[in-house]
Amino acid sequence: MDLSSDPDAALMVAIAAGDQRAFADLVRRHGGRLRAVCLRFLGNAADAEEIVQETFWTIWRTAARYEPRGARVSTFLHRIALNRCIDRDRRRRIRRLVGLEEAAEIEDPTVDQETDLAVRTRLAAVRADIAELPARQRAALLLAVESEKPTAEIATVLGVSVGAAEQLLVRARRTLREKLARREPDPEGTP
Amino acid sequence: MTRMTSADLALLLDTHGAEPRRWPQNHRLQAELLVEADPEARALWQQARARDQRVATLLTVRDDERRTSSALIGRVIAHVAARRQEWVFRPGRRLAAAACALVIVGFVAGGLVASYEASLNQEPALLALEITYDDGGVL
Repeated sequence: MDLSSDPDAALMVAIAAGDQRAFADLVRRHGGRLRAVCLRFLGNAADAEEIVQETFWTIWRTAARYEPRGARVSTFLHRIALNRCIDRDRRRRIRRLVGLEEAAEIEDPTVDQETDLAVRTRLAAVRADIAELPARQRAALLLAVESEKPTAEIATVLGVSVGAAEQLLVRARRTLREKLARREPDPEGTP
Repeated sequence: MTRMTSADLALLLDTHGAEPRRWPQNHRLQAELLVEADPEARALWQQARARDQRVATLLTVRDDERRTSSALIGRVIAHVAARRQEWVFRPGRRLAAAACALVIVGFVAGGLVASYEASLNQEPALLALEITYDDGGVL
């Protein structure tokens, strides 16, 4: 990949040279979406923002090492952010397991209050199912659904082979399907 | 070419979802033919599509969320500025920590030497105490 095919690559070169305006531009281009993706993964706005801040700090420090011929900058950003999300999720699960932390309510950034109560209840159940998925399966599903990324790019973001990324998606979808089938024997057509 | 079965379709749906344009080129035609011809396969696909819609409702980022607010940009820049400051002073902090550690080690080592010397000086007195006790025991 060259600088012309990814507009962010030129920003990375400028950031590596200490250009703060380029840095602000990169944050403007990706910050909002990255925060929303982290929020969907973690279910907590404060945690999501912290991850975004740390992700951009990593970008500021390591921009010089960014290789434009490698992955796109947005892929690079997702990789840093989601790996941090996965780490945080694991620590949180361990803390819950040993009783140092209670399960927090998952924040809902998607469904407005005007949506029908029955629909909201069904969606809340699916949200809980997604939250219970192992972290890497959840990350793979999020990338596939939210960003519509091809499996090869999901594999790059998660640092696994394409086959392993496919396995993560298969397990995630299978788990959701089985849980839904237990709850609602015939879910077809219901939102 | 072997014919696609419902089990193959189920695996395809679990791997790539229910949206046909995301199915690999080499399986798409067979899968679409199967969905059209086989009611069981069609039901599988429709159920997968309904599930995907729910998951997409929950995971898809809205357009208004994609825009980065100036407040978020400001907070990120402030965070990076603070981290840079920490980063700059980190070597100094390490040096200060090492100096503190050396002072503490010095105090502890000095204390140990002093107490050892003191114990050497006290030994005759302790022996004397034992003698006194022994004598008392005999009597």
